[in-house]
Amino acid sequence: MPDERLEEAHRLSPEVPWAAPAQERHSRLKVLLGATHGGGKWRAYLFSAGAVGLVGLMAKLLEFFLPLPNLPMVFLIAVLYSAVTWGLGPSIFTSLLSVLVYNFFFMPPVYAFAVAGLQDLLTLVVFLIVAVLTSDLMARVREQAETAKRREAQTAALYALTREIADAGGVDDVLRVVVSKIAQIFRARAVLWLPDSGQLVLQAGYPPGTQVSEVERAIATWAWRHNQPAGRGTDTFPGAEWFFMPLYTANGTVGVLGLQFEAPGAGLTSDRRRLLEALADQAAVAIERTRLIQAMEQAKLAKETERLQAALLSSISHDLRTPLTSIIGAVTSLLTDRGTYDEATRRDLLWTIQEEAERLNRFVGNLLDVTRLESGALRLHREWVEIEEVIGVASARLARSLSQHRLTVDIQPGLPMLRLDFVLIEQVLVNLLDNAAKYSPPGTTIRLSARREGDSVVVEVADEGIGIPPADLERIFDKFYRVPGSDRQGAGLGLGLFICRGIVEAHGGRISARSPAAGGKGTVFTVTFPLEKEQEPSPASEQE
Amino acid sequence: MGEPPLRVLVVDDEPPIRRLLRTSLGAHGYDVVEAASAQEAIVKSSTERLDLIILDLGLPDEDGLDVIRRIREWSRIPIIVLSVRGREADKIEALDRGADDYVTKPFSMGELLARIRAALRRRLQSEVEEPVFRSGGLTVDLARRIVSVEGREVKLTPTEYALLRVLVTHAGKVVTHRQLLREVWGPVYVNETHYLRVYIGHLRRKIEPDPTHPRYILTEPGVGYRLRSPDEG
Repeated sequence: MPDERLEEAHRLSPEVPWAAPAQERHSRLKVLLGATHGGGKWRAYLFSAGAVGLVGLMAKLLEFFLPLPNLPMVFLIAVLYSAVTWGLGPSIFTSLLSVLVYNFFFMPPVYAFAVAGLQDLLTLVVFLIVAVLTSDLMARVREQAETAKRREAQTAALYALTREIADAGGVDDVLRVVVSKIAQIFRARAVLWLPDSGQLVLQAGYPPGTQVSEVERAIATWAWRHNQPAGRGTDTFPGAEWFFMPLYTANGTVGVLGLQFEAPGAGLTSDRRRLLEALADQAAVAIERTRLIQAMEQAKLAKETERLQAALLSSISHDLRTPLTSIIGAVTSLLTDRGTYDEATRRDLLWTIQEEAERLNRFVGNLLDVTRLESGALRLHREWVEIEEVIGVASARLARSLSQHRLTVDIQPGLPMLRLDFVLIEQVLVNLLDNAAKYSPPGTTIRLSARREGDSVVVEVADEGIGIPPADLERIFDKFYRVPGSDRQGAGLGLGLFICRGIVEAHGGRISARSPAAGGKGTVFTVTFPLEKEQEPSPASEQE
Repeated sequence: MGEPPLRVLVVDDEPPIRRLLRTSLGAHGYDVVEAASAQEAIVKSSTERLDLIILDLGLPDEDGLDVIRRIREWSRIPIIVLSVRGREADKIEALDRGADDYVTKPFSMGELLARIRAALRRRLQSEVEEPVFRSGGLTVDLARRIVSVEGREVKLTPTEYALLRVLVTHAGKVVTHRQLLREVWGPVYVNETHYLRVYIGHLRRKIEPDPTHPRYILTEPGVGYRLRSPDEG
């Protein structure tokens, strides 16, 4: 293919790195010679001959009406048609043939070639001028049409890239879209490097997993440092296998794009080059934008993490120190006692130590549960469970904390079993009961109930305490959230309800709070567990 | 009593825990031997004359579970495991490997002492069969198959009785779900936890004054059940 040889020539001419002008001349010439129609070359000449024949017949008919000197005008139709339809070669051929046919069939002596006279020459010259001018004109028109078509294709490619980038999620997605799209458009292998702490790091490749040698990497680095294209088809390392193009925005170079064309000699026409530049610009802007967004999100996340850490630290220092203060205070009182305390006081101090130590233990348990929830390490060990049994264990574990309150338990008889993680659901009930005890005054009643509602089992913990402002009802399940202005004394880390929600939702259940409850005070926490679709097979009943 | 004091090996890498146990157990008449690592535990359990081992599962050099396995290769000495909440799988594994019981850290000393007494008593019992079990108001006459609560006889179905009998023979000790299912229903049923839940429910309704807050058949969350031993208050 002449194409290929020309391309080769471009690459070998260092002063024209992209060799665009020659390429343009070449394509123009192709159009002029009518070669754009490829295989139809011979057909074009054949059809031209046919056209001359047709026009000749027409002229034969017109001969009766028109004076002889006007007949060449008829042949002009064939020349024009040929020039418009098939281009320069066939139209010159048509001109010559026309003159010959005219000479043979029309000029006396008819049916014999007359000696070429001045008129013949004049006709031929006119025909040739018409042929050349028309075919050149047509070539221009055709070229413009093709340019328009290429532009359209470019615009379409750009649009497609923009749209896919817009759909892409993070930086990785954007990079993936950019390399795959560019690789497909240019029928090439493509890679993309982004700078990271002073050197280029390969971020994406198409086909995925595409690797590039160290040497090529060095050329890419050169392209990045000098902000100039390098490698194959350029005047910098033209012997390379890859072509590298820096991606830059107004703020600087964001990365380097590498292309290795599928066809061994294939390079870039100026159109393709412009397209690549346009795509590269798009990609650069998109990469920069997503990086900025990412940086912003990271900053936000860092700030949020910082806030949570601060909350955690303040919680830990407060909530771990409070019980420790009580414990150390009680212990030192007992240690320094010289018989001034009576037995009741001593027991009271000892009870304080035990209660506060248990509270500390719950805090630590909560911190561990939060870590497990957040790291995704929470694994459910589901087993068939009677909710009554869980309620029994939870209330027994909290017996001491609940000693100041009346606890009533109301369980609907014949509740179906649930497939739950016993230990975790017990923790949920412990947290809810502990909460109820903390936020309601001593002597009030805490009601724990379980009943069936449609396809679920509903467990409720109701207290007669201070209640929760409506605005806080949703947020109380957030991490470290504590109702503002609530008495911090005895309050937990603000983790209990967060853990409850995590555990309940891991079971496919729901947890919610409403306040005030019946009677205009207190809070009711409702936990809903969906019933298993498959009920447990009951063991056969038997006689006593 | 004239008998030499009972010797307990305490295996824990935390010196404060060892000190606590040394002081408390010492005050209750036990002779305490200490080990801070798995290696030391294995050496001392083979060289010292011991009556019981208290073993922390979280040891620095080796898994406590392996210590149980190795000691069980030559000795049937009672082993009580110390474990933390949230590691139920470890507790089950320890019991499966031959530990007698476990106590969850942090534990109350009363609870630990009760478990120690129950474990030591079971060891003596295995030699002298005790036909009548009593815990609080619950009486189970294993020879005559009679169960009574507060002097009132309670009728049980064969399965309920079989379940209660297994718990009685391991009184004071945790019996895992699998073990109960295997001994009462058979080896094919070891995963049918719901059978167990149903029958424990029936049993509690018959022998417990308040089935929601059981006094005799205690739930060990995620592990199994335990019949309160007469030693516990």
